[in-house]
Amino acid sequence: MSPFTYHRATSTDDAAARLAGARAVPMGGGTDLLVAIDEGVVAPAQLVDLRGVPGADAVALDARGALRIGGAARVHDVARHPAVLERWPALAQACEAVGSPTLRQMGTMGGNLCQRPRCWYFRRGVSCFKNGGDECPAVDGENQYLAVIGGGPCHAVHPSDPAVALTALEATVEITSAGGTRTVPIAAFFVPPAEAPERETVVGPGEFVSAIGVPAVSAGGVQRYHKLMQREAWDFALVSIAAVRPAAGGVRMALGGVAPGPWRVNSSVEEDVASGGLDDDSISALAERALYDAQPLSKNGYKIEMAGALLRQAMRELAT
Amino acid sequence: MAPRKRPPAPARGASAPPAPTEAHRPPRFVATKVEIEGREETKIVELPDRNPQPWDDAAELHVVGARVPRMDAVEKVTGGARYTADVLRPGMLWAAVVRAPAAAGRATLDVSAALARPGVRGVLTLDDVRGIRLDGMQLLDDAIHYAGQPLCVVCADHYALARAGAAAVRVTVEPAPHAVNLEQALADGAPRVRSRGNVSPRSPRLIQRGDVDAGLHDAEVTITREYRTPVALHSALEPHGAVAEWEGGRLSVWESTQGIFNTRSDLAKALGLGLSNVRVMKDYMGGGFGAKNGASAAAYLAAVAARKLGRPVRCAWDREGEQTDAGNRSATVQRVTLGAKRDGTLTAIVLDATIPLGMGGWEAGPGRIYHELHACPNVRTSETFVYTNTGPMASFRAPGHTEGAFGLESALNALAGELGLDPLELRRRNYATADQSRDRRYSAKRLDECYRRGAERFGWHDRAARRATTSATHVRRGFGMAACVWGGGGGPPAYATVRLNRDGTADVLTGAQDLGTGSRTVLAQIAAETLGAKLADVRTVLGDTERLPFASNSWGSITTASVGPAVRAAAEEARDRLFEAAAAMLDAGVTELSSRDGVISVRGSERTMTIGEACNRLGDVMIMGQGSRGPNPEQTTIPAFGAHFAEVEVDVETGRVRVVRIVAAHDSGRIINPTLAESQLEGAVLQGLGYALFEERVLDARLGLPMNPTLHDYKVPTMADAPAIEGFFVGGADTVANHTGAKGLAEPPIIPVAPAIAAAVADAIGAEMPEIPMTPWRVLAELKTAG
Repeated sequence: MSPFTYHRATSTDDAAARLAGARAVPMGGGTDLLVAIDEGVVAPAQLVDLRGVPGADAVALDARGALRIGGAARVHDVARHPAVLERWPALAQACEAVGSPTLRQMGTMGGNLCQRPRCWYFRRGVSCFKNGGDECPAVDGENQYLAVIGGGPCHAVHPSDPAVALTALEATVEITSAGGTRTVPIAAFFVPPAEAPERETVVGPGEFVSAIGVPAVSAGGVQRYHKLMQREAWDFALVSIAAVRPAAGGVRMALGGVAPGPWRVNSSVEEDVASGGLDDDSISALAERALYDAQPLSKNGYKIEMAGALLRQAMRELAT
Repeated sequence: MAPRKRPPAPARGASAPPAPTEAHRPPRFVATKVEIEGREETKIVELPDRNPQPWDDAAELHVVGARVPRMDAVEKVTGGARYTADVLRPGMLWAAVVRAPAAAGRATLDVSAALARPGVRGVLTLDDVRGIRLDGMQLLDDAIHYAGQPLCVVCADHYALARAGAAAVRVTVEPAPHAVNLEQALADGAPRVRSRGNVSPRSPRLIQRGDVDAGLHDAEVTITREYRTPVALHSALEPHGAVAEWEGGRLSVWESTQGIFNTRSDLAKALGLGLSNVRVMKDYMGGGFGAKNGASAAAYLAAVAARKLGRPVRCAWDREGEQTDAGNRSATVQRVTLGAKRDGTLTAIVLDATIPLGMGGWEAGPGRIYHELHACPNVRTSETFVYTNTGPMASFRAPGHTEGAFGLESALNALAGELGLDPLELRRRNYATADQSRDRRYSAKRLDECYRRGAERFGWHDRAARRATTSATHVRRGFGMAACVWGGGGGPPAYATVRLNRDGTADVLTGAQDLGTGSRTVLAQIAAETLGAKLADVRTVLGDTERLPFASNSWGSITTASVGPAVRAAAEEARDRLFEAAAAMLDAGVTELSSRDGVISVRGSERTMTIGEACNRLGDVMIMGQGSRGPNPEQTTIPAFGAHFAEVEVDVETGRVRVVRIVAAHDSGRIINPTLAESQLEGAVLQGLGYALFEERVLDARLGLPMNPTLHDYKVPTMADAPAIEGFFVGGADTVANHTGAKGLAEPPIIPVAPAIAAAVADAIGAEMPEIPMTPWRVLAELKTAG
């Protein structure tokens, strides 16, 4: 662990200015960042704590009925927010599925999206694509928790639960730096490992997640988040699913735990689910189609079966 | 042994036996057998002068058997309890350990950058500890035997500075090939893990009775199965650690240990000190589970560093150290063959097991329970212990039996399926009434009552009706059971002193330790019962080699049955002296007195006084009693038994198992405190559930490195995973065992958990489970095999 300084930012501008410094890193609850520093996975020179920025933890509806979640909002507060519970229950359920009560009380939404993967090799400092190496030791090793779809050359999965719900809800992510603010759709927030295996998101040096936007069009209807873990609590998803049929129509589904980022189900499958009238056979066929591209590693084939089970269950729920 | 001149007998109470005359005195020191962790040892015991009347089932007891709360509960939940890691000594330095980053090879260290760092006061390397060996390995060896092996220790003014110093040590490893699992260690041309080879020189260990070939020939049904169990980690919340401080040539050590006297001997020997110059202390403890049975590497390192640097030193493992370098339960591969008649009568039990030990440890082995649990004339077990480049094993709650029960009880359940017999009925038809492995009697055996009352409570015979009641179509319900046996007798030596203070409060002094099991409370209950004192007035003082009489390690479920009788004898002697003093004060005969709840009364009279009044009148005359544990009964095995019944739900689409309910019925003789005893059952069921479903040390075979040495990635159960646990005890006092009638109970309840759950999963999905932990991927794989 290398020494670092700590600064509690007083405003967005202060945070952005501080983060422009060399090896400055934004911090929310620190539930992942401080552990990663302790493990030597990251070595910042300065931590910029965003939780003191006025309004950074706000969760509010705008005039058009869209939701704006401050980057420093606590996962617990989003899970229990009345508007989230009522209008975007998939997000509330996904936030409630995070870690443990203590982690949800400490962790922030921005931090949750920016947490680093839990791949054992990366976390234990074994040379790999994420830390500047040129091979993935997990391919011939202990890959039971890694990606079955969309992976390569790195096969680590992103551990966030909320990100999976936000993908199904077609959220946007607001990214701020000293240069200003940009907003990206969540589908463009996560970077495929084929493009840049050393990172997971488009958040670059000097930037931080200042807010998450959830559109009004995603609200209501039928919404579900299901998470399969090895044990009942304090565990990352083996496989998870966010499935929504908002009041405004359409079906969107995203899988967690199976891919380097949240895996949005093929739109043709979503459309077929939306068209309705599905019997058990067609549900099974659609689930298989959704996972057509899956290619398991040596020890994670079970995830395809789990994902199939979650997809079938979700389609049945959306159909009713 | 030369006859020792016996000191004149002190004045004793009415119940003391008459002093024998010199000519007819029986031998004072005799041999007796004590079973510890499945191994039987012969111990010398000094026959006690006092042998209290056994507390049989008719004994009228008021404090013993009461559901009193743990006496240190408030300290624990308020943070007032001081654990080893809380010990802060003036001028104390903090140690951080540099560990091997590879499984094999030779390490070269450059500590110059570390020594130059702020606050760093010194470094320990191999040359500082040459000759100190643990598990057959030189401490801080530059030859690397396993990843995580300590290579050097950096001491600094604070822990953060020590860690920064440790990170500045440059470690260069000249790599060598490793063998971290059975396949690698037993392969042709495998690298040599230990100089004498990769298989223990004592392997295969063959234990047999009868003639298994004849037994298999006589069998009408034969089944063969292969079972696998994982390496499990103790994961005690309090890691190994010690604080050491020297005053001149005398060493004081605070250590998180299950045995202060063992730790003292280990340290004295390694450092060339007399035992009286080493003091080991341990007050509260956050779990040991068998991995803290002597001086830890941390204790040696703290002691040597403190001597070298002239300041107290604290050395404690961090979580990664705890999960890689603090012992483990060995993995096993068990190939089991059972032969039986059509009616279920066992004719042969055969086990061929392979056990990777890591770099060392003792050879617990899964075999012994195959000889003990069920009646069978022909049993043969063969166990091969293999060395691997991983941390050494250490005893872990019922070592050997827990692994063995998964094989034996799973095979028995498979046989029941083959025979079309109820698994419980199959066990009843093979009920052992004596210890077949040692050919002698049991002090008591109430396993049949565990079977009957456990099945009744569980609704075992109505389970077919409950099978269909699941929450969803893809969720199947299943039921399973398994049994256990474990040594529960305890034994000598164990000593205690009970002394009364002038306000009538009592101190129970004994050099035992409370690992968190509740020994402190249980021993106070025994003393309060015997004295007739209020429990609140009795305090148990444990864990100090300098100030307390000897008691052995708290291991092998022996503490209550070993130390309890010594405490009772000491309290009885103190009470008798108190009565002698009080008799004059109450104008009564000693034999007319009795005491209860702090009040001494005269039989047939209204005259009373409190123990406090009597003591106060005596002033600083100290009423004290000494007691010791007598020998165990000859030619007798003193076991504890239990039977578990499990109900699970399995999602056949995802492979997830949820344990809904466990009924655990146990026979451990008299229960001194049902609340604490049930708490042991619950803890063991949870630990067993983790073993059955989640817990598994994972190593990358190619790299030789541990992958999951954190409490997040090594998955112990959470409260959300806890099933409804209904734990209870059958029967009553075992007065053959000892005069308190109590037997051990901490370890037995982990033994049957995994096989009972596995049987329930098999029942639910229609496919046997040959391997634990039963992760979703293993359950899905078995479902596929079953079609």
